[in-house]
Amino acid sequence: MIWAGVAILVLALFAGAPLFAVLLGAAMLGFFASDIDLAIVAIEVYRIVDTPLLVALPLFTYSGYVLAEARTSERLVNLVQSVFGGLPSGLAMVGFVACAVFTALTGASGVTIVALGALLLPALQRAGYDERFSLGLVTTSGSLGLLLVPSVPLILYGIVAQQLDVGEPFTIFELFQAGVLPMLLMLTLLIAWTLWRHRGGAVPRVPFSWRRLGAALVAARWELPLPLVVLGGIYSGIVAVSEAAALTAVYVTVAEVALYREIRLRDLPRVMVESMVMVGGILLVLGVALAFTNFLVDAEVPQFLFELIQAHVHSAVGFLLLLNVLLLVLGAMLDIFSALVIVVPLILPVAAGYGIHPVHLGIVFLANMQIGYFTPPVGMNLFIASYRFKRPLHDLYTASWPFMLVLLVALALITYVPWLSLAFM
Amino acid sequence: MIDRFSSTLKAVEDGLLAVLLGSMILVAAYQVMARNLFGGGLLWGDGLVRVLVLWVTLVGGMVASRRDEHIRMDLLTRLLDDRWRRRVVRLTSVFTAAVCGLFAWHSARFVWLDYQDGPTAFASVPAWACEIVIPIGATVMGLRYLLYAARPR
Repeated sequence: MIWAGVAILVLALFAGAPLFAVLLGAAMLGFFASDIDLAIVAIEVYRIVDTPLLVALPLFTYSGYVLAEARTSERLVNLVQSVFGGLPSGLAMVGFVACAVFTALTGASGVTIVALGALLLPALQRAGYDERFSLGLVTTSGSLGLLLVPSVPLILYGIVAQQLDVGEPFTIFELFQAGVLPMLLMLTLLIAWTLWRHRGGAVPRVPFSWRRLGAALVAARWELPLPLVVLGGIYSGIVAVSEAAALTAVYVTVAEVALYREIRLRDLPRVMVESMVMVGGILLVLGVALAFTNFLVDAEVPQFLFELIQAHVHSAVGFLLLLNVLLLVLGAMLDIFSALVIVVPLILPVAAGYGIHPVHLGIVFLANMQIGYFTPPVGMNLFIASYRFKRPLHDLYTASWPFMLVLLVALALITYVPWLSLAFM
Repeated sequence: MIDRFSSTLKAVEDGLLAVLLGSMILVAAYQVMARNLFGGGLLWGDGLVRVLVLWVTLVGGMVASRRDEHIRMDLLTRLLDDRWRRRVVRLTSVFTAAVCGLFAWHSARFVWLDYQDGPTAFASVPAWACEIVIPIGATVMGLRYLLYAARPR
């Protein structure tokens, strides 16, 4: 009877039933098997109310949608270009940096490829980069920036990990700091590879001009204080993360609706609904996953998993290697939010058993997921890029793999040099 | 009849979602400013904001089911041809509707228990009034998937 239920759940999962329904079914089946009143599942979902940090999710997501709706991407590219455009391979650097910033602000929901890719792809090709390189850059950079504040997956990892309360305690702020060096490492390696690939000056430079920089700064005047609103408050300790999210939401609305006038007031409800459909989908999965996780912990599944793995894998390095492989496969199959709420509760206790710091695990997890976004054959960003740029998937596979190789090197360093993530702790 | 009902429901959901998010932004931002400028915000402000997150979750989920945009693994359905895809969608929709129905029933029992006991969520707002969105959301989502089972998209 119970096993028939498990079989149905697994079938439903792979047949494409909504994930929240599969998890909800799993939680109810589990509690039913343990003779616990099923009303507990509703009580677990209601625990969303007990997590103050969760408020940051809808607020940052809304802000990202507003920025994506306005012409922020255009101003961002212009600004970054007027700074870096004069350097060798300058425009490629512009691409990396702009994509990273925009992804951090909007979450890696494909918005970066849709909004920035459309600007960058023709610009790169006009500047003399070949098509393969340009396509690869815009496809793979769509998930660059996952490790930067205020990326929603980063916050979500913090929420899930703190709910579990295993391993060494940490603050969300420490998690934010942990992403900085790994992010810089990825950028450095990508830029180094770009320079090497275009050695010999195949790509002409755009001369630096103060006037261009000035014009770009003036154009972006209302958005320039944004990093200060998001980061300044958090880093100075004046406001908490969820409070910074509220201020960001207000600031972004005022800037794009009242100051730039790029979003009409009567269009605002549509943007709000769009962003909240995505948030509703994510939080619903999170809410039922909390219930399911609690069942798993009650049933001592993480301990079982730990003992099973420990019988075969003896060192932390071995475990991390296994984790990398598993997460790369998973990252290509599952979207990042589902992976976070389902997999983290299972592996965090195991990782803690090997003495891996939860903050380090989080950075490794997200760096893996970032690569999973464009891992053939089914990485989500490959489909988005194929749709957006009207190229067959095969072109995107061949264009992306060199970038993937570079980022895999970065991932290896991030995984086996914990210092990169824990330097500020 | 069903079509008229669903177009009304659509307007209600969208309107509600915008109002919920709007109040969340305003109250949360007011709390930050009040706390830093005059040393204290509304006593019930933080509680309200957290309940609003729950409501956004369920109402957002309702809209996501209306558009069939829930997070899922769509590897298989992407590979199938249209005729088989419809068959699979029928089955997964029946599954989803059944799970939602079961959850709606048990969460309604949870709300009913709190209605009788009468605990409060924040200020003097009773907890059941905040929780009621759970069975409502589950019911609406369940009915939508029942509809998809009959008429797969």
